[in-house]
Amino acid sequence: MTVESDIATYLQTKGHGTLGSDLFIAFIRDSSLNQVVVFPTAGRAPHKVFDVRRPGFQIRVRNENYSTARTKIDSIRSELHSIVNTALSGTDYAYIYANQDPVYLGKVRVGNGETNEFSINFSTEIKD
Amino acid sequence: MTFVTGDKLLIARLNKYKKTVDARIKQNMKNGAGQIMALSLTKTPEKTGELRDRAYFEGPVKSVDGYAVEVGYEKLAHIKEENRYAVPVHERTEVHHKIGQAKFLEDAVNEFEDEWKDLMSDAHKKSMGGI
Repeated sequence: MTVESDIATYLQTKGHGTLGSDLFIAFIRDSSLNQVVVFPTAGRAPHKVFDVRRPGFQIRVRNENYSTARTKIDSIRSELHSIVNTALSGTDYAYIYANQDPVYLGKVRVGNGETNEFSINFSTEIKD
Repeated sequence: MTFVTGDKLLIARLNKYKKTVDARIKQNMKNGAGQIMALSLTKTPEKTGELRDRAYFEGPVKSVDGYAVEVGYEKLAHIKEENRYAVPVHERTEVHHKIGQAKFLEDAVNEFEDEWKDLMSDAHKKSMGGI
Protein backbone atom coordinates (compact mmCIF):
# COMPACT_ATOMS: atom_id res chain seq x y z
CA MET A 1 0.00 0.00 0.00
CA THR A 2 1.10 3.59 -0.52
CA VAL A 3 1.52 6.11 2.27
CA GLU A 4 -1.43 8.18 1.08
CA SER A 5 -3.63 5.10 0.92
CA ASP A 6 -2.55 3.84 4.37
CA ILE A 7 -3.24 7.22 5.94
CA ALA A 8 -6.57 7.77 4.20
CA THR A 9 -7.73 4.31 5.28
CA TYR A 10 -6.63 5.01 8.85
CA LEU A 11 -8.44 8.35 8.89
CA GLN A 12 -11.59 6.62 7.72
CA THR A 13 -11.41 4.08 10.54
CA LYS A 14 -11.04 6.96 12.99
CA GLY A 15 -14.15 8.68 11.68
CA HIS A 16 -12.55 11.55 9.76
CA GLY A 17 -14.43 10.85 6.55
CA THR A 18 -15.58 8.26 4.08
CA LEU A 19 -13.28 7.33 1.21
CA GLY A 20 -14.72 8.38 -2.10
CA SER A 21 -17.36 10.54 -0.47
CA ASP A 22 -15.65 13.30 1.56
CA LEU A 23 -12.20 11.73 1.98
CA PHE A 24 -9.96 11.45 -1.07
CA ILE A 25 -6.48 10.40 -2.11
CA ALA A 26 -4.25 12.75 -4.14
CA PHE A 27 -7.03 14.62 -5.94
CA ILE A 28 -9.17 17.51 -4.77
CA ARG A 29 -12.74 17.46 -6.04
CA ASP A 30 -13.67 20.95 -7.14
CA SER A 31 -17.32 19.96 -6.90
CA SER A 32 -17.09 19.51 -3.12
CA LEU A 33 -16.92 22.32 -0.58
CA ASN A 34 -16.22 19.99 2.35
CA GLN A 35 -13.52 17.37 2.00
CA VAL A 36 -10.31 15.90 3.35
CA VAL A 37 -7.54 14.96 0.90
CA VAL A 38 -4.32 13.04 1.52
CA PHE A 39 -1.44 13.89 -0.83
CA PRO A 40 1.90 12.07 -1.03
CA THR A 41 4.96 14.33 -0.73
CA ALA A 42 8.61 13.61 -1.44
CA GLY A 43 9.76 13.60 2.18
CA ARG A 44 13.38 12.77 2.89
CA ALA A 45 15.77 10.41 1.10
CA PRO A 46 15.67 6.75 2.18
CA HIS A 47 18.10 5.78 4.93
CA LYS A 48 21.49 4.94 3.43
CA VAL A 49 22.19 1.89 5.60
CA PHE A 50 18.92 0.47 6.88
CA ASP A 51 15.85 -0.51 4.89
CA VAL A 52 13.96 2.54 6.00
CA ARG A 53 12.00 4.86 3.73
CA ARG A 54 11.05 8.37 4.82
CA PRO A 55 8.25 9.65 2.63
CA GLY A 56 6.01 12.51 3.65
CA PHE A 57 2.37 13.27 3.19
CA GLN A 58 0.13 16.28 3.31
CA ILE A 59 -3.43 16.57 4.61
CA ARG A 60 -5.68 19.26 3.18
CA VAL A 61 -9.00 20.06 4.80
CA ARG A 62 -11.65 22.12 3.06
CA ASN A 63 -14.84 23.25 4.75
CA GLU A 64 -17.17 26.15 4.05
CA ASN A 65 -17.19 26.87 7.79
CA TYR A 66 -13.83 28.16 9.05
CA SER A 67 -14.23 26.80 12.59
CA THR A 68 -15.27 23.36 11.35
CA ALA A 69 -12.23 23.22 9.05
CA ARG A 70 -9.95 24.30 11.89
CA THR A 71 -11.38 21.79 14.35
CA LYS A 72 -11.14 18.99 11.79
CA ILE A 73 -7.51 19.57 10.87
CA ASP A 74 -6.55 19.94 14.55
CA SER A 75 -8.29 16.66 15.26
CA ILE A 76 -6.45 14.95 12.39
CA ARG A 77 -3.13 16.35 13.62
CA SER A 78 -3.79 14.93 17.09
CA GLU A 79 -4.75 11.58 15.58
CA LEU A 80 -1.63 11.21 13.46
CA HIS A 81 1.11 13.04 15.32
CA SER A 82 3.40 10.77 17.35
CA ILE A 83 2.18 7.46 15.99
CA VAL A 84 5.07 5.13 16.89
CA ASN A 85 5.80 1.53 15.84
CA THR A 86 2.37 0.94 14.39
CA ALA A 87 1.25 -1.10 11.40
CA LEU A 88 -1.22 0.68 9.13
CA SER A 89 -2.75 -1.47 6.41
CA GLY A 90 0.18 -3.87 6.82
CA THR A 91 2.90 -1.20 6.52
CA ASP A 92 5.23 -0.80 9.52
CA TYR A 93 5.48 2.86 10.51
CA ALA A 94 8.35 3.49 12.91
CA TYR A 95 6.85 6.91 13.47
CA ILE A 96 4.66 9.61 12.05
CA TYR A 97 4.99 13.19 13.19
CA ALA A 98 3.64 16.58 12.16
CA ASN A 99 6.20 18.92 10.62
CA GLN A 100 4.39 21.99 11.87
CA ASP A 101 1.01 23.27 12.98
CA PRO A 102 -1.76 23.49 10.38
CA VAL A 103 -1.52 26.50 8.09
CA TYR A 104 -4.53 28.37 6.73
CA LEU A 105 -4.33 28.68 2.95
CA GLY A 106 -7.25 31.07 2.76
CA LYS A 107 -10.59 31.04 0.98
CA VAL A 108 -10.87 29.04 -2.21
CA ARG A 109 -13.42 29.64 -4.95
CA VAL A 110 -14.83 26.40 -6.31
CA GLY A 111 -17.60 25.64 -8.76
CA ASN A 112 -20.46 25.88 -6.32
CA GLY A 113 -19.24 28.50 -3.88
CA GLU A 114 -16.40 29.40 -1.58
CA THR A 115 -14.67 27.31 1.04
CA ASN A 116 -11.85 27.50 3.60
CA GLU A 117 -8.68 25.49 3.23
CA PHE A 118 -6.08 24.27 5.73
CA SER A 119 -2.92 22.26 5.16
CA ILE A 120 -0.61 20.24 7.39
CA ASN A 121 2.46 18.17 6.53
CA PHE A 122 3.80 15.00 8.12
CA SER A 123 7.04 13.01 8.05
CA THR A 124 7.25 9.24 8.38
CA GLU A 125 9.73 6.42 8.72
CA ILE A 126 8.69 3.12 7.23
CA LYS A 127 10.47 -0.14 7.96
CA ASP A 128 10.55 -2.31 4.82
CA MET B 1 51.29 0.22 34.40
CA THR B 2 49.78 2.19 31.55
CA PHE B 3 51.04 5.54 30.34
CA VAL B 4 48.78 7.97 28.60
CA THR B 5 50.56 10.40 26.30
CA GLY B 6 49.45 13.25 24.11
CA ASP B 7 47.54 15.01 26.84
CA LYS B 8 49.22 18.37 26.12
CA LEU B 9 48.34 18.17 22.44
CA LEU B 10 44.76 17.25 23.32
CA ILE B 11 44.46 20.16 25.74
CA ALA B 12 45.92 22.55 23.16
CA ARG B 13 43.45 21.33 20.57
CA LEU B 14 40.53 21.59 22.96
CA ASN B 15 41.55 25.17 23.76
CA LYS B 16 41.75 25.95 20.04
CA TYR B 17 38.37 24.28 19.57
CA LYS B 18 36.84 26.38 22.33
CA LYS B 19 38.11 29.59 20.73
CA THR B 20 37.15 28.87 17.13
CA VAL B 21 34.15 26.53 17.01
CA ASP B 22 31.52 29.20 17.58
CA ALA B 23 32.62 31.32 14.62
CA ARG B 24 33.06 28.29 12.34
CA ILE B 25 29.61 26.92 13.15
CA LYS B 26 28.03 30.31 12.49
CA GLN B 27 29.89 30.72 9.19
CA ASN B 28 28.96 27.24 7.99
CA MET B 29 25.32 27.76 8.99
CA LYS B 30 25.30 30.95 6.97
CA ASN B 31 26.88 29.17 4.00
CA GLY B 32 24.37 26.34 4.32
CA ALA B 33 21.41 28.71 4.47
CA GLY B 34 22.63 30.41 1.30
CA GLN B 35 22.98 27.06 -0.45
CA ILE B 36 19.48 25.96 0.64
CA MET B 37 18.06 29.21 -0.72
CA ALA B 38 19.92 28.73 -4.00
CA LEU B 39 18.64 25.15 -4.27
CA SER B 40 15.12 26.29 -3.44
CA LEU B 41 15.25 28.97 -6.13
CA THR B 42 15.88 26.27 -8.74
CA LYS B 43 12.51 24.80 -7.74
CA THR B 44 10.48 27.98 -7.20
CA PRO B 45 7.58 28.44 -9.62
CA GLU B 46 8.03 31.37 -11.94
CA LYS B 47 5.27 33.34 -13.57
CA THR B 48 6.28 36.96 -13.05
CA GLY B 49 9.49 36.37 -11.05
CA GLU B 50 8.00 38.12 -8.02
CA LEU B 51 8.04 35.02 -5.80
CA ARG B 52 11.71 34.35 -6.53
CA ASP B 53 12.52 37.96 -5.66
CA ARG B 54 10.94 37.41 -2.25
CA ALA B 55 13.37 34.67 -1.16
CA TYR B 56 15.60 35.53 1.76
CA PHE B 57 17.83 34.04 4.42
CA GLU B 58 18.89 35.52 7.73
CA GLY B 59 21.10 34.68 10.64
CA PRO B 60 22.52 32.91 12.36
CA VAL B 61 20.94 34.26 15.50
CA LYS B 62 21.30 32.80 18.97
CA SER B 63 18.17 31.34 20.51
CA VAL B 64 17.48 29.21 23.57
CA ASP B 65 18.10 26.11 21.44
CA GLY B 66 21.42 27.38 20.06
CA TYR B 67 22.09 29.10 16.76
CA ALA B 68 19.41 29.27 14.08
CA VAL B 69 19.24 30.45 10.49
CA GLU B 70 16.05 31.32 8.68
CA VAL B 71 15.41 30.62 5.00
CA GLY B 72 12.09 31.66 3.55
CA TYR B 73 9.94 33.67 1.23
CA GLU B 74 8.00 36.84 1.94
CA LYS B 75 9.47 38.07 5.19
CA LEU B 76 6.34 38.96 7.09
CA ALA B 77 7.39 42.43 8.16
CA HIS B 78 8.14 43.46 4.58
CA ILE B 79 5.03 42.38 2.69
CA LYS B 80 1.42 43.24 3.46
CA GLU B 81 -0.76 40.29 4.36
CA GLU B 82 -3.12 40.76 1.39
CA ASN B 83 -0.16 40.60 -1.01
CA ARG B 84 1.33 37.36 0.31
CA TYR B 85 0.92 34.16 -1.67
CA ALA B 86 4.06 32.08 -1.06
CA VAL B 87 2.42 29.69 1.43
CA PRO B 88 -0.53 28.64 -0.79
CA VAL B 89 1.79 28.24 -3.80
CA HIS B 90 4.14 26.13 -1.66
CA GLU B 91 1.38 23.97 -0.20
CA ARG B 92 -0.89 23.37 -3.20
CA THR B 93 0.81 20.22 -4.39
CA GLU B 94 -1.92 19.47 -6.95
CA VAL B 95 -1.04 22.58 -9.00
CA HIS B 96 1.26 21.94 -11.93
CA HIS B 97 3.66 24.78 -12.75
CA LYS B 98 5.28 25.30 -16.14
CA ILE B 99 8.45 26.33 -14.27
CA GLY B 100 9.13 25.09 -10.76
CA GLN B 101 7.03 23.10 -8.33
CA ALA B 102 5.10 23.19 -5.06
CA LYS B 103 7.14 22.37 -1.95
CA PHE B 104 9.97 24.42 -3.42
CA LEU B 105 11.46 25.17 0.01
CA GLU B 106 10.61 22.00 1.94
CA ASP B 107 12.09 19.73 -0.74
CA ALA B 108 15.26 21.87 -0.86
CA VAL B 109 15.70 21.57 2.91
CA ASN B 110 15.17 17.81 2.79
CA GLU B 111 17.57 17.36 -0.11
CA PHE B 112 20.23 19.40 1.67
CA GLU B 113 20.07 17.27 4.85
CA ASP B 114 23.33 15.37 4.28
CA GLU B 115 25.25 18.46 3.14
CA TRP B 116 24.08 20.27 6.27
CA LYS B 117 25.43 17.50 8.48
CA ASP B 118 28.74 17.66 6.56
CA LEU B 119 28.96 21.44 7.07
CA MET B 120 28.46 21.10 10.82
CA SER B 121 30.88 18.18 11.02
CA ASP B 122 33.46 20.17 9.03
CA ALA B 123 33.20 23.11 11.46
CA HIS B 124 33.94 20.84 14.42
CA LYS B 125 36.78 19.01 12.67
CA LYS B 126 38.53 22.23 11.60
CA SER B 127 38.15 23.68 15.08
CA MET B 128 39.91 20.62 16.50
CA GLY B 129 42.80 21.13 14.10
CA GLY B 130 41.62 18.71 11.44
CA ILE B 131 41.12 15.60 13.58
